[in-house]
Amino acid sequence: MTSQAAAASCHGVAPSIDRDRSKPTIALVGPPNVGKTTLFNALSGSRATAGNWPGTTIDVAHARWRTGAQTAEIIDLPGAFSLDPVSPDEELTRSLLVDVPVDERPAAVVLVVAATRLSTGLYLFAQLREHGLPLVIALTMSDVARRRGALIDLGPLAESLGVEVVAVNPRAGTGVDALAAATGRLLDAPSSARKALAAPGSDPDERFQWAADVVEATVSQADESRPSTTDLVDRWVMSPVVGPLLFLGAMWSVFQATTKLAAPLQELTGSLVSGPLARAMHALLNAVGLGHGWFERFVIDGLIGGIGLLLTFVPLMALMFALLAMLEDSGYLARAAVVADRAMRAIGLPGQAFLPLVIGFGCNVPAISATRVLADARHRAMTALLVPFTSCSARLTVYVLVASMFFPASVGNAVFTMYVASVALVIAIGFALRRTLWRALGEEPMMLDLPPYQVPHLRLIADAAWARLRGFLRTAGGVIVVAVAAVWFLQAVPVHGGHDFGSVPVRESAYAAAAGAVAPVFGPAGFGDWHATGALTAGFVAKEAVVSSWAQTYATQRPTDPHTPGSLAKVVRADFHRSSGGHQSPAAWAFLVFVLAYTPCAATLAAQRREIGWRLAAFGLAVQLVTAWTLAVAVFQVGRWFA
Amino acid sequence: MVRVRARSTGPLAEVLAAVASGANTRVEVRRRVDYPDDVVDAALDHLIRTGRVVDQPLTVGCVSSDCGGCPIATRCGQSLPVSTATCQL
Repeated sequence: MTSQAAAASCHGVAPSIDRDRSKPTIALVGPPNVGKTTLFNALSGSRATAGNWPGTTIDVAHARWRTGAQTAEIIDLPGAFSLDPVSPDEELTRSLLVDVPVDERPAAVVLVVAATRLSTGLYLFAQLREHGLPLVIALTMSDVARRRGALIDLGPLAESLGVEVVAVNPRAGTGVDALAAATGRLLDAPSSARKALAAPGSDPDERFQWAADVVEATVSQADESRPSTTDLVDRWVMSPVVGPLLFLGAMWSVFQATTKLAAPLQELTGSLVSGPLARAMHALLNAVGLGHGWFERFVIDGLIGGIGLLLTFVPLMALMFALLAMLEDSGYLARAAVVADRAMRAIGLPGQAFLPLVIGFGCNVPAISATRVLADARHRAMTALLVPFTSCSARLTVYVLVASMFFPASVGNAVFTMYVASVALVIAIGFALRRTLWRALGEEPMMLDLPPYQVPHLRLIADAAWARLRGFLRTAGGVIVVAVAAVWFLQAVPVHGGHDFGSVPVRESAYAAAAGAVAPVFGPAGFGDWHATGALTAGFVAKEAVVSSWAQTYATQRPTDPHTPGSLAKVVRADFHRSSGGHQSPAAWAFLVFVLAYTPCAATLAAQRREIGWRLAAFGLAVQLVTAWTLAVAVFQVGRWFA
Repeated sequence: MVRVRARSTGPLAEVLAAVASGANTRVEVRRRVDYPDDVVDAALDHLIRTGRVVDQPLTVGCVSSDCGGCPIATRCGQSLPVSTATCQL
């Protein structure tokens, strides 16, 4: 579509084109983005008019063009890659060139070919020649091709094609007169005098083979042996062996830097929340007459204890999001996605499934929505079942909390291990599903368009990191507040007599009773303690709730001393020590593995039900729970044996 | 004069075979197929246009109009240079 045509169509329905049939028609044809419209503007000057082609809504511009001795009408046809149309634009181009009766065909065709994409133009040329259309070639972008080291020998090219080839630069206006002269000669020549050349063949592969032969004979690549810097870097970054190792190294560095740099900030935030903030709130509630009651305990132990602990992760999340945004903006993460894609293909997973799975490492809910990019329903179902095993950023809070309590010297390594375990789990479960449920799953060939490498932009990194951090804060301020209130309510309800609502010790509350009923199930995994199982149950709502409910539970055990909630690590370690028979480290690993593998959150379940139906969603839930429990037990039992 | 090479398969078949065997970027396809880069790119574009190979851009925006609970859902369609594949990382 021409610029004039575009302008016309922007202001409502453009008028139908009114052609001058008394003059010979010349069709300007070419693939999109070869400079065809720029050339048309250079040829027609300001004399062009535009409008809908009769019977269509496609804009076509036409103008008078002086070609040698005569004036012709030149029509700028819509861009087309071939005469086998895949769009209405290409349909119109084909119909005007070859589907019309022979006497209504253009008197000549100016085929615009970009020197930077010679083969694409030659393919179209081959088809036009098959239909016997009189042709002249306008070769654009020769300067760009030259800068890239490609030199096209016009003489041999014209000889190979049997038509005149004119190099033009429509922006500079060079070659335009030569093109007019060549077109004039074509119009003047009797059809019998035109060179008759055999068509390369009607099969697309034969046409490309012919184009390849022409390119090899007429194009010389000046610096073919010198790959670009991007190619050199990509050779290592996307190598089947070095690529995954580099990716693991990059992620390890991210987690190391995140946990090490954020630790002091986290500590500072924690002391602010549990110290001055809790004290200020205590004083405020006393001042308004709401102190020393269930409401104060809800605010201090519930909201400040639960959500406050969660908020201590804000510096850590911000740092990690910023580092990942930096890797992403640099163009590296897209390369990592290519490496991941290759790994999945190697074990028989559909290549396209990598996209939602990688998204799942941020949040599982949109990742399940992203399975819609897969055309095959079975691909969608299988991928949606795998997404919950990708370790979302919410689980990171649990990893960091548990690792800092049990392995304070190597938090980064522990978190990194969990992410590697997540990838391994996706591959293993995918492999199992492929070998059992979806044996006949086909694969669609896929190409990935890589962005170029670039120096990361500070503002964009901050923008991306803030956008994600805001999502984390929104969760903490929304669903987690509800979860905290629900947990607090259950902890306030006594199951035995002798206590009032809100003043019952948590171990005698409905919460402890319910969690205690589930706890024995986790005995073989080393964390069969009601504190841990209560937190895991709350984690069904969202993984951040594991952290908040844990903090609530232990804070509520000291209702008389809200100012000094004590060391959470100390009491959690003591409970794990008790429940694991002295093997607290294997129990902590088992707990982490369970958090990784069991249902991420209620929203993920809802997304699964929406995308793949409740039957498969229920099946997925069962797979998650069975996998999580089995792995947790295995990790604890093996770990205990080694310990 | 164009010298025709004797080959059992053409560029389309070779490019398709390379993609099917795991080459998932243009660079890798070019490396695996013994034709000029220009020809490989044209053949690849042809396969993508005719739907025989799926093209997955890793450039800008979210993969679906329904981003669910995506923390950066409000950014979708804007010029934030977040790759499709990693918009949630």
